[in-house]
Amino acid sequence: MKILISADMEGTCGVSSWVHVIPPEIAGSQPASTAEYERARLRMTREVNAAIEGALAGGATEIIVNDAHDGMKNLVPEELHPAAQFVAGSDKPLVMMQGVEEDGVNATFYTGYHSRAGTPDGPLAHTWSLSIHDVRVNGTSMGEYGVNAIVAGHFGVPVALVTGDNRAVEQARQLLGDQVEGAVVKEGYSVTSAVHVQPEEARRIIREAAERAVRNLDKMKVYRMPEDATVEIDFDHQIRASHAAEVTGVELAGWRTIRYSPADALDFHRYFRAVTRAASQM
Amino acid sequence: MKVLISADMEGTAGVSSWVHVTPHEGRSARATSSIEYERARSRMTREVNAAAEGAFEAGATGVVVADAHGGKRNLIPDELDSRIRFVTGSDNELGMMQAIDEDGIRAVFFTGYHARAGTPGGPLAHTSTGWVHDVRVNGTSMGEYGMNAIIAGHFGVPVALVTGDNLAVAQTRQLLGEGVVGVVTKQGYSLSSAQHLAPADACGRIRAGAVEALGKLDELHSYSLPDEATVEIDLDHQARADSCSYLPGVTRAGERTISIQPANGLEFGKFWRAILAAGAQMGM
Repeated sequence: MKILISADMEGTCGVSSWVHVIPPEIAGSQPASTAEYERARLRMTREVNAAIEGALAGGATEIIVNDAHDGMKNLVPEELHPAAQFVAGSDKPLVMMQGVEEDGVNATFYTGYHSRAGTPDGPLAHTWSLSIHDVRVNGTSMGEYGVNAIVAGHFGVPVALVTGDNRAVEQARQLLGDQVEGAVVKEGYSVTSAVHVQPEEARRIIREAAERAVRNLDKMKVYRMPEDATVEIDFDHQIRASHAAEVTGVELAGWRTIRYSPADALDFHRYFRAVTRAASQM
Repeated sequence: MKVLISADMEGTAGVSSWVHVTPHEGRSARATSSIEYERARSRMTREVNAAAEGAFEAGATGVVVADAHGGKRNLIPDELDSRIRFVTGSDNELGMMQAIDEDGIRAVFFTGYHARAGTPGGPLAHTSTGWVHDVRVNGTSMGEYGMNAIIAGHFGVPVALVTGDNLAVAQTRQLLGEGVVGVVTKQGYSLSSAQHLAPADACGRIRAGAVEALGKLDELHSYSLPDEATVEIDLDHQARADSCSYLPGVTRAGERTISIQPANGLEFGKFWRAILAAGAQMGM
């Protein structure tokens, strides 16, 4: 049995600031700290290891870890569980879900996930970038947990586990179903404040949830994008929307909103990448 | 029985400079040092662990730690006692006392606390920022120890332990009563000089102090804001008072003084956050 772990960082225990999750070499003029980032990526790596240990205990035989956070080279290779293969680096076609296209992947785990843009009290809540205000598929709002579930669904792979803050776990289960196992490592007070369990306790919670997820794999459901889906994305500024609308097949649906109708889930994701890239410059 | 630890940093043993307590993140106008800050936060974390160990030894069933310094993410998660839950980050409702509203909290510990603004010989003495000169509730001056005791008092929870420099401990016990157990980690000579206990010794005393504090819990009372209290706040500059006077409910009480009349401890805390935000900008 083969598991893909999509490993984000914001939902890691102890993380409550962008300083924790921004690699200093790409921070530019933003506040950054090597000591803080190094600690947080070590904690991220250990949480991934806890998920791997749980998966192996539940019967998984093969694990691929895809680094799914900014720059996508955050996991510390030497510290990773030796049973895992890992994907690192940017510009990979399936981005946060690279590896799910491999033969024989039975399930996806989300680790270190966060809630969608705008979520009240969602620690470091956002969707893809800080300039996206909402993503809707046939009117249903979703964050990265939804966008990535659609990609997994294209390959017939269900999401079996989500670990992160309380809002991320709630939102993922609300969209994908309560069969998805959840591991809450912190509860949010605001975008930049949360109450956390101690990291060792977080790893125990993750390990146990991962084992349950694998043992309950037959209950997991594949999340598929509806046919004839319409996708709408709200940006923070009209200029971003007009840049995004320059992509062929994309139209303006409002002052700060664009719309497109993907042929299938891969098309949905390809457009999503193109649109967010086009909108990244103002 | 749960305990909330409000963990500040300036009163930690070995700390005597802003360099020790300022994160090295490239946005401070002050001098910063990654090495100094990292050492001091590790020491702060060990002092919090010592207080938590004492609390568990005395029968506490849970300990929540609210990181209460600066951006409120100084404690090192992986070095915390594994039984602790901990609060990090800014923009929360109760600030240095976040989580005091959780069920079952029977006592508050202040660790790493410092004296109020203007205290002679008080190591890193200040009240919330460098530009507040005094806070008086019905004429009684108080520092962060007093304002946070009032927040705890709103929830009926007493302060049982204060650790920090000698003047922080003296001021806290003078305001809240001699029943509060005090653990002195250093004696101040000036704002930026002190004679300290060795860190391991400080931790040993903090642990013993925490045990003693929970043993005396029955004798303690919570500290509440008096009814119809008037709070006066002296600022460093008249332009600062101008900025703050625009806030609803804030009146001008003097050249550099503003006044508020909060209905209760929570409203006091809310006014305080608004004043800190408004006063951070001043007209030129």
